[in-house]
Amino acid sequence: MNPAAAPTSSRPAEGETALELRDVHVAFPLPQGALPVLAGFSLAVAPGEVVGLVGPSGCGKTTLLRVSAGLLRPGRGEVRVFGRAPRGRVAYMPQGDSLLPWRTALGNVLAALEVDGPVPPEARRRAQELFGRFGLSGFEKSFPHELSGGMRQRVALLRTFLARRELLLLDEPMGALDALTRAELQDWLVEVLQALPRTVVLVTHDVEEALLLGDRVLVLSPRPARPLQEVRPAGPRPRARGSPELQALRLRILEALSPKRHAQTG
Amino acid sequence: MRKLASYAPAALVVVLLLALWEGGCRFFRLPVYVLPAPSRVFRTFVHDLPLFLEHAAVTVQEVALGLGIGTALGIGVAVVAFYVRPVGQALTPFLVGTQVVPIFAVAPLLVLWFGYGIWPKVAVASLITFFPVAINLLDGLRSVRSELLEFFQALGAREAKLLRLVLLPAALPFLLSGLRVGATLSLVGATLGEWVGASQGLGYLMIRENARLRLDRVFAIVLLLTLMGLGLFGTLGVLERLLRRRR
Ligand SMILES: Nc1ncnc2c1ncn2[C@@H]1O[C@H](COP(=O)(O)OP(=O)(O)OP(=O)(O)O)[C@@H](O)[C@H]1O
Ligand SMILES: [Mg+2]
Repeated sequence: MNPAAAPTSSRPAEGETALELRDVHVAFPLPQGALPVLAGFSLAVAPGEVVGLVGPSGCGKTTLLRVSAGLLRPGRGEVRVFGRAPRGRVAYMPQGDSLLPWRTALGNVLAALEVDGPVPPEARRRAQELFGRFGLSGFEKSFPHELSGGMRQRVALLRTFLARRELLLLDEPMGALDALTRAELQDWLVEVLQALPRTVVLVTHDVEEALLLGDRVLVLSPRPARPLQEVRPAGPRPRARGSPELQALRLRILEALSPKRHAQTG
Repeated sequence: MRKLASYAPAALVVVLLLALWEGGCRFFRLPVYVLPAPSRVFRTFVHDLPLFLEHAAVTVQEVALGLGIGTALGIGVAVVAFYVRPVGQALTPFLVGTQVVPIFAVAPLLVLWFGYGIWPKVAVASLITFFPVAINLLDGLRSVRSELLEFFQALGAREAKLLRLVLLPAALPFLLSGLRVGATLSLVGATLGEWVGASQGLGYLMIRENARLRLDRVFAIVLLLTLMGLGLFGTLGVLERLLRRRR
């Protein structure tokens, strides 16, 4: 059996929805009144699907993921992960550095497993094996501050993949990286998804990244976030970075995201 | 090497002061019961070390027990105050306020209540340790970044697991800072408790030798207490630095 391929919990029935948001409302209380961040947001993600979310900064992407992970209760509306309450059923990779600085790379990955109880030796061995696939072999014993930014992101991704949950929510997994490292990591994540298929919601501000990785890309409006457009890049992954189709889609999304257009559409 | 050199001016001052002290004592032929010369203090220190260590063992025991009890209480109160908001709100001004109350002034009362054994001194040391540990740990728990927690919360980790995996390790250096403050003050507190009433311990010995006009011994005990304090402070400091280096 493929070591980390499938979550141990029951496989989802065919046709079930992996993630379902129905008419979700979230507003943050501020001194000058409530700040609506999600106002009637709905979304359905099929099992095995990779959905990219792009949208302007501050539109509510992180809020959307936190609601989907059960970390934030919506004021109104419903959130379901495979038909049930989300808490405990998703692996969420927060935006920015979220590794435990006092644990080694391997320690951080094992911490994700410790949530479900003591880590059996073979699970430990499996985690070590995956260090190779994630391009981290030899760095198991390094502390986060001893790793490069790209390596830290990969450790964070590795622990999210290894956490054995049905749904992965990734918040800008390549954020804060230089363009070169980013492109390299994107190609690599495509490969990882090939080998370890998962249901993924991927938030990014990099349109190309969403198109390279997503089966479907959702373009969000400024706050309160609502879907503006849905784009389906043709063909299976891996997709050619420079292909004309991809570039055309990229321009279409950037067009949809440009502030000028919002001024026109209100 | 450079660091060592940076201590040179301070060392020079110490040497100068000691020389002045020694010279003064000799020049004015001061008797021991007025002011013993440093050389005399040092000779007494070496000669009477077995006696001093015998009493130091009692003091160390009091401080160790006080540190243990105070730390345990501090951790318990900080964790409760962290989770139960009203408790935290009720305690915070209190915790800060009591820091300015001179616990040493309470020492005589404690002797009155707990008798002459080691327990009143343990109580003083515990109290002195408790406050900085509780305040610092609460601070540390509150300053843990939410991204660190949210990964585990999304996976369904319960509070006990979050405490063990994230919150307590993250707040450990804060706890150690508090402990470092508490540790040195505890030594002073326990000694003071022994002054007020005891039959053993370095504080008791100081009072006894003072009454016998053996000021050389009093000074030697002060020297020993200083060394003990430095040792305690230094050990905890090194521990804290080791932990912080990984952050
Ligand atoms: N806990 C909170 N309390 C108050 N306001 C919040 C909170 N979290 C988010 N907000 C506000 O909600 C809005 C959306 O925030 P969110 O983090 O979801 O945006 P984002 O789309 O992820 O942005 P970015 O691309 O910059 O990460 C912002 O205006 C933010 O200030
Ligand atoms: Mg965000």
